[in-house]
Amino acid sequence: MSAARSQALVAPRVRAPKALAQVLGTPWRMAGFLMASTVVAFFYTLLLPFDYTQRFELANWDYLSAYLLIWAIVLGLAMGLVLSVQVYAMRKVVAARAASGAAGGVAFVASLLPSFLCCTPIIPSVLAFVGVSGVGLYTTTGTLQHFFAVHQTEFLAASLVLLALMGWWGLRKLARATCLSEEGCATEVTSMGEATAGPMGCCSTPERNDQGAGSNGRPPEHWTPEGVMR
Amino acid sequence: MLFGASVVAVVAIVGLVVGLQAANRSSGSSGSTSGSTSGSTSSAAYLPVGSTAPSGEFTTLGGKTETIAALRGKPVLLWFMTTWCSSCEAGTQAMAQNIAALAADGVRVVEVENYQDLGQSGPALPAFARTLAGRSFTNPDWTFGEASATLTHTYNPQAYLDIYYLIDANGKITYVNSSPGSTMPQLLSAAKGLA
Repeated sequence: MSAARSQALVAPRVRAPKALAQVLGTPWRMAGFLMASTVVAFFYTLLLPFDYTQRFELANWDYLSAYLLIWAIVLGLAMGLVLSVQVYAMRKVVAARAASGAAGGVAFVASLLPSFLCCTPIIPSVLAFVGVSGVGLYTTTGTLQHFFAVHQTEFLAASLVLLALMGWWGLRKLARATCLSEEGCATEVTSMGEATAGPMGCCSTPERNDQGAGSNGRPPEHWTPEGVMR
Repeated sequence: MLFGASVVAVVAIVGLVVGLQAANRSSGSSGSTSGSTSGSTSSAAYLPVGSTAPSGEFTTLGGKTETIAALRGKPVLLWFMTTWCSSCEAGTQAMAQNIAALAADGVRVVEVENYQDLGQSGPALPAFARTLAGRSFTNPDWTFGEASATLTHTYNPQAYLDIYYLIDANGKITYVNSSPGSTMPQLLSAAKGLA
């Protein structure tokens, strides 16, 4: 079978914006995205002022400035999007689980570093624990805590960029996968040589298509690498 | 599925908040008045409760050199902070709101900047104090100053940005904690009956 014929048998590629529309395409998915964003943003409203109180409690809202509130909302939306893409991808293609998990976690941790490492006893305690003492303890403590105190914006921005990248990467992977739509994609060739689509065709993988393979174990003739999420 | 995952996330986060709240309460009420560790400082990080407060020098904003020993005869809250520290800003604002309550218990507040702001650049102490203390800046029961290197090393050996001692009229340390912005209720409670 020619390459052109193979291309014609798989579902057309979907671009990232369309993938996003499908990720948030139903009222329930949109509600899930908004709920996830709200929960994460709520979490951030308590965590970002942590360095003012050194406590994790509702009283942290006393120190929630407009600046921190905006960051909490933006990071919440970004994290909500990443979670939505990840959950959608997990539902659609198991292989897409790596799309955003670890890096999303890194972004989350990075966004909290300034709050947790400035003005808290964490750094001096760790330094003392590892044996740093005297002038070295004072110098290192001041340097490290001052670094986190004055670079909060950079840390938050880096976290947002990382989350945005993870969301875009996940959407891109979804967009490159075939069978993104509920209708599924072509999985078999009729006797007339025409592709048919059906619900069972969703998220085809070589193994799945091997169901139609011959006894030699090779992929069926209609299979194409374009049909595999990568 | 996404909706279900969100519900699980909500439950998990609410549980985390409740758990941390409980942990905060237990640490806040732990024996910083009896010598054991407080919620945010380790036992090796500060002078023990019950010990005699060592002397040391600090320089007031007016340029006068004072000693800790000279403060005896009246309870003192000796607070070490840095001017670039968020919790120190919050603590100073909280102190401004509660300076009258502490004064009613006979406590004088001495807020001193860690020696040279721990080697980092921050707002100048006079501007910091005047801005955050507001009208309480001129309160006679509240003194701002800069700690000497020896005083800082003695009371704050691990270079915490924010740590305070409550010292009674006889010069005994009765309470240690950090971040008065969030520990003010415990501080006010510890200050009761010191006079």
